[in-house]
Amino acid sequence: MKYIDEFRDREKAAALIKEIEALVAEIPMAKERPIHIMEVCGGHTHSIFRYGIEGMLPKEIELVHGPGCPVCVLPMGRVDDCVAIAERPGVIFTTFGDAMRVPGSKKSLMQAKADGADIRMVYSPMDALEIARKNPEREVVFFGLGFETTMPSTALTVLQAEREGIANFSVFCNHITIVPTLKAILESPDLNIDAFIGPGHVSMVIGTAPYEFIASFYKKPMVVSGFEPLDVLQSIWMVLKQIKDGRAEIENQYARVVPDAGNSAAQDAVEKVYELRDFFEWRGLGSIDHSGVKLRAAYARYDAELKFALPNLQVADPAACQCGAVLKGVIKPWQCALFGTACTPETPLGALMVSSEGSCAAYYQYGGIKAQAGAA
Amino acid sequence: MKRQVNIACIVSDDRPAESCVGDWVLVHVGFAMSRIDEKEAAETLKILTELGEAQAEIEAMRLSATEVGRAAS
Ligand code: SF4
Repeated sequence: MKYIDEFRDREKAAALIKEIEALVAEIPMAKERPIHIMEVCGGHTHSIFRYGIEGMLPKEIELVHGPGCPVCVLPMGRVDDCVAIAERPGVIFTTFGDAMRVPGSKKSLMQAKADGADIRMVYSPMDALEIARKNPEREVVFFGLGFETTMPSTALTVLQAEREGIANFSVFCNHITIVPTLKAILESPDLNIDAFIGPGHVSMVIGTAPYEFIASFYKKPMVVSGFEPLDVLQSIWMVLKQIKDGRAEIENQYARVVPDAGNSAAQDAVEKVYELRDFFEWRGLGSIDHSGVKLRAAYARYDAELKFALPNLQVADPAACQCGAVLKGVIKPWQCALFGTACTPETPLGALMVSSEGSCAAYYQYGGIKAQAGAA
Repeated sequence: MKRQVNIACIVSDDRPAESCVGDWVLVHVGFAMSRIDEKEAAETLKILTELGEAQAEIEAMRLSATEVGRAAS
């Protein structure tokens, strides 16, 4: 397909890897310790594993898989809230498919569905609105999940519901926002990251300006990247060039999709519909100030949190589960005692084993054998 | 594959809906979020191609250098 095949070319990949090797040789720091590059976005984690990119890179480069997989950072208490809404009589609960298997403290949405709750997988929030149109006697709830990439589509759906006066539709809003999350990572005391591969799809919405503080204040390079193997390799090469030149800038490798200013129509919809929460709870990372959004008071009637009384409990992750340490890059997935034994993609105990963007599932599926052998 | 896609985010007064026909767009959960910029795509590929050529040249120079070395010894 156009704009995909060109970015998977083997010869170009080989040339890039040579360039990367040459650059690494010119960076003195790399002789003492590995260069840590974090890819923030779960989509990149997925590409890196799918194409075996880690194995192609010189051993001086270590990729740290960031927390940018929205399903993976969803706390158990939130899943319990979903189940509580879904099990109310008269409710149709709609969700993206990848949230179905995230474990709650008692059950996942998948198990709740097997127990009889009316839970439907949708491809788009617009599909959820369509279900509401067709079932006026039922309450239809959409599980709004994801970073700025999906935030505008949920907002536009709420605005559409308002225009049509659809009263039986609401959103359980769990959207999260990237900048406070990056700040929390940059402020964390065990931070061990030299540079970032920036999220491509989030950036096509918010643009590149919101990341400036990473370069100006924290002096870390970031390259906003596409998702094909050549995109990721070129971004790593650009990051290394910055490190070698002693620069810290926000660069854009994915200009074919990401305009520097982002998408203003999407930004307007986000601004109109949401406001920041004081804090939001993340699985494994704890509470991060201003990292989540909720619907503004003007849209309260579309807010499932207000429409239904929710248990809203904080539930601790199981003690043996090490998702938090993996998310922060403190340990590698296979160092969790549950990895591959009690916790597998078929029976995930932790959220990182659920989605193909989660680093545990990615290691389990694509082996990461070389990395394991190297660490042993 | 055919699917209905919401294009509210990629149309504006100077880029009306009619102008989208035939464009490549990036669609996320049923919403078109970006028109692919062909010029930028070509630019990125050009850099990658040049890198490939530069590598091939370096490689050729390295090979001929070793040959010269051998002839002299
Ligand atoms: S193996 Fe399972 S429990 Fe352990 S860190 Fe990974 S997802 Fe969490």
